[in-house]
Amino acid sequence: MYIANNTLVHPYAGILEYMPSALRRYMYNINLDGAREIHLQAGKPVTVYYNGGARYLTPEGRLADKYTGGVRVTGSDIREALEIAARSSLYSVSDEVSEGYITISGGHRIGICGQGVVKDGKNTFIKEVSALNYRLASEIKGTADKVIERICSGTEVKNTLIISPPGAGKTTMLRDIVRCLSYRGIRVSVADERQEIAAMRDGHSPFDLGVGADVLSGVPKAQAMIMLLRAMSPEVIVTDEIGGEQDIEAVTKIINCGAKIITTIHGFNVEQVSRRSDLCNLLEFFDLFITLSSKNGVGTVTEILKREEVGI
Amino acid sequence: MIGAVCAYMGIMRSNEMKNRCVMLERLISAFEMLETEIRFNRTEIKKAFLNTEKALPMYGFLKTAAENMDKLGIKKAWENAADKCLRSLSDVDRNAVKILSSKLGMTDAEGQIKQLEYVKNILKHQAGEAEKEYKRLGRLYRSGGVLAGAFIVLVLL
Repeated sequence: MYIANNTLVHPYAGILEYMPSALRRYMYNINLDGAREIHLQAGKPVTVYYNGGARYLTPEGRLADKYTGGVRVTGSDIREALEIAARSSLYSVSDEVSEGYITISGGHRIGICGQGVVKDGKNTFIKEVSALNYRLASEIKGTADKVIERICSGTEVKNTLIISPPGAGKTTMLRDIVRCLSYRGIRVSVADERQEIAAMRDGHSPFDLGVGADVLSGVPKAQAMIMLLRAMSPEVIVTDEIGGEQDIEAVTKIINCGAKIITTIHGFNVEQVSRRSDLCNLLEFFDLFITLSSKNGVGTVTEILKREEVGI
Repeated sequence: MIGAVCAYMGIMRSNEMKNRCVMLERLISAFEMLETEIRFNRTEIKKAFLNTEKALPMYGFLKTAAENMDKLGIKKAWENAADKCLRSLSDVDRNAVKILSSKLGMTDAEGQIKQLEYVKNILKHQAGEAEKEYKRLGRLYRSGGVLAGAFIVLVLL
């Protein structure tokens, strides 16, 4: 099932202002429609990833298929980009940096690579940054059209697990599900630990999340889900990429309290996820399993299975 | 006229020395406030500059740096603001302030505090020296200017 005829909303709005000035001037005329990532690595050419593969920025301000002769990134470009992303205040986003990313306005996320600073066995910062990967967030209204009727009939929502490999559109799907549910008058709360779903900035989300979706950002998702359950009395809690023991505990609590959960997990299909010993107990909480892939473009829904069909 | 000019120059020089002392003391206090903003509030650097300048006027230094940060980047904005607004400082003092230009905002909070402490220590030392110098030479310049003026007038007469 290929997602078609949807409205693509500002897929890369404002991303250029986060580029270092020396590179920005080559980028004004390139077409970023359909781009998923922009990759900057010191000493390497600027690379833009599309679904069809990588393309390289040329000094003529175009994108080429060959990397030779591409515009190369310097160390000072990386430093400048980092300064812009952190608004000259890396310490103020050090929690995000320690996790390896910075979320910027527009919901885009910049992945950071460099030298980790480890204290007490935990990474606390990344210094000597060598590469930045801009993951372009896109809001595609209608992404959830094919699944929303299965997830929600009337006001009854099913506990849903979206299974997808990285980059197959699970966050975009989740965001659109939030929007659809919220417009149907269902009270949705979003536990957005890494600020990917709602990308709140100064109290506002750049995405359309419907009329009443509450967002708790930056709090570890297990904690956030419980906080939302207690504070916002949601009918549905939405969160991204669960997997840890604490997450499973929180999901159990939410379902036992009568709220519903819609979440995602990395994987290729239900069978593969069910083979993971740490996750097999988790699956029994869900009524519906949706599998995504990039087979026919990002957000391809390859499978929708009820619990009975999975045989859990 | 000549006497007045000489007296004025002496007083100006003495005032410059006094201003340097005051400016250094204020900078040290401002850096302490910045430390608080960074350590406890994790305030973004631009806002931290503006908050500090509002609480403790810094001759427009932090405000100028904050205003130009988006356009020039923090390094240049900081250096330009130091050159423009901290004229009463000696070159050594200003260079100490400029040490921060490449570090501010670009490390974790702990790194920021260390850098601010480091520069603060240099400025404290400089402030001590400036105070001594003022005590030693301030009055001398003030009265010396008047005396030199009087002397020139007498010679000319």
